Amino acid sequence: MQKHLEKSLFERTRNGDTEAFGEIYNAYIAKIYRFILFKVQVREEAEDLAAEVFLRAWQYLYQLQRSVDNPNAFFYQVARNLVIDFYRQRVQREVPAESDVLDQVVDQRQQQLFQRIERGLEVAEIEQTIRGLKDDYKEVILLRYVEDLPISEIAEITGKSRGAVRVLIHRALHAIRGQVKQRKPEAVGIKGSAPVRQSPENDL
Amino acid sequence: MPRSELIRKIHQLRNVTPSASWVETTRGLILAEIRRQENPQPKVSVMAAQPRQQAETAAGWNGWHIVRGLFGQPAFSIAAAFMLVMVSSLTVNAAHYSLPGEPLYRMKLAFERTQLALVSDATRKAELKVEFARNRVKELERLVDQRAPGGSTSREVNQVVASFTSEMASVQSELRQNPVDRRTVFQIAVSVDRAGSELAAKLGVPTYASSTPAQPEVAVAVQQALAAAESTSLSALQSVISAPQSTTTNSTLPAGEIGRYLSEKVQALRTEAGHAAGSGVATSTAGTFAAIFTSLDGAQQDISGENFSAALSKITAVREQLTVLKISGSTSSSVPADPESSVLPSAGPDSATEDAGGAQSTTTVPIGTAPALNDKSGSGVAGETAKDATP
Repeated sequence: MQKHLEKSLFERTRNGDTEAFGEIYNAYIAKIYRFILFKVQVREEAEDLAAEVFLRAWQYLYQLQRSVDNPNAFFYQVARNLVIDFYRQRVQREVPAESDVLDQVVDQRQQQLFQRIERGLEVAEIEQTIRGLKDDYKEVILLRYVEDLPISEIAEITGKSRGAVRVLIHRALHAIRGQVKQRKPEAVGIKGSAPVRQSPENDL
Repeated sequence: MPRSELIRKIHQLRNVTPSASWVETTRGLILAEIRRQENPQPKVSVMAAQPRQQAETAAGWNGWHIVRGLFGQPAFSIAAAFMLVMVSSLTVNAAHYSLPGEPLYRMKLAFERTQLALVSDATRKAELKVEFARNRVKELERLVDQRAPGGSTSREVNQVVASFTSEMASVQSELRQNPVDRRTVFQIAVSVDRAGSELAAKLGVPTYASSTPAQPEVAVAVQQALAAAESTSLSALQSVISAPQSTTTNSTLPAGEIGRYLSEKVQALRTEAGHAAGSGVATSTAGTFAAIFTSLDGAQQDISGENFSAALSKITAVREQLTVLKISGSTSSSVPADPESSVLPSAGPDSATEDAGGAQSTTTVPIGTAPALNDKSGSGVAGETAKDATP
């Protein structure tokens, strides 16, 4: 979304224009959902939290009449805070040891999307690898290489210096590379379907 | 593996997106909720309007506002916009009435969390939490009424009870960490107790019957919820009564109101004990019921002498004894009926808080055995809202 258009939408939102806020929602919902999903790993919880991000955003903009200099950073920070609170409230939450996003994405349409990706096994592998990272690494990798945010914005979102973010990214990539090397090729089963075979002609 | 190759693989995760139907539904819900919140609402007190009334108000306002704004628009757009508004309003209404296990229930809880997030005033926070706990009570009532097969009702009942318990732990924590005036605490305590009594009356509990309920696990959960509600109410009341005068932040202690309320509690317990005795509930020792009635007599004398702390201790002890009898539910023919009454306990007095600043809450607060609010070793916070969204 162009910056001047985005700025206009935010200003209209502060004035109570719900349609403008709807446009903002359309622009950000997918990436906020994705960001949260990779943190909480369960679709239903990601959906709840993503919806809550926008409710908070509305109240912040309209009811509190706050302005936002960097919309990207704003939404990711809200999402980040909500995920932190989510885990704080669920201190005894158990994270499945061997599950992955493919197993937990019960949405058939989403499963089919993964299956249509030419190198489905590769996606599952990289997802598993990233999921196994510690949260700091996971966060910067997602923001940098999935959401394509600049270092400056990642620094603003995470509250770290740019240098620290660069170091984290470097270490995260190193960690991912190391895990990819160590992992042996193995079938990845999608819940409710046959295991994925490692053949170039995937018949999923 | 080259860095570029690794990054290329990571880029593929961009294909993870939410479902289009969820995106659209959520958009409608959020916008409808936003419009509903824009509608000036009366202060949500512990005696807030019924959810049905709020939802109907919101729907009506939304409909009129949109229709009024559509004059001059092409007919097709008017019709489409009208349908969208009606669907959105209906969806928000549906969310308000949703129950655990239903798709919109999570949205309902999200709406509640966002309301809390922007409230900084401790009193308002506590009142909202009590209101949300009251919502859990209404859900509990509807769940029990449904009597779904396969144990699903009991699972969802447990979920609601757990959520309710969490809310009330949060209320206690809120009041402990951010002391509000004693009058407000008293009102909240009474609100909690009233709602519990209402729930008990509507669900036909307490029961000391020997027959096994159709869903015993549900009955146990409900009984425990009611017991927790009363425990929380009594704990809050204890903190009001026992707090030194020097810590009073605002209003004076409403002694007359407390006395009347405690007297009503004594009478209600006397009635309940009479019913328990009449139903033939077994007691571990002979004379248990006699001791209960004697204790209640002592409590009434304490109330007359404005020794509220002692009265409350006796009331709490009797409450615990009756709760044990209620949950165990065994039968015996050896206990003589109390001549005073054999009817079910009353739903609770109606007059105790009529003049307490208009606070006439019937909110129920089921929660496990809770310490007094001035007990620093009490249970931790559960279900606290997330902090405000400030970049």
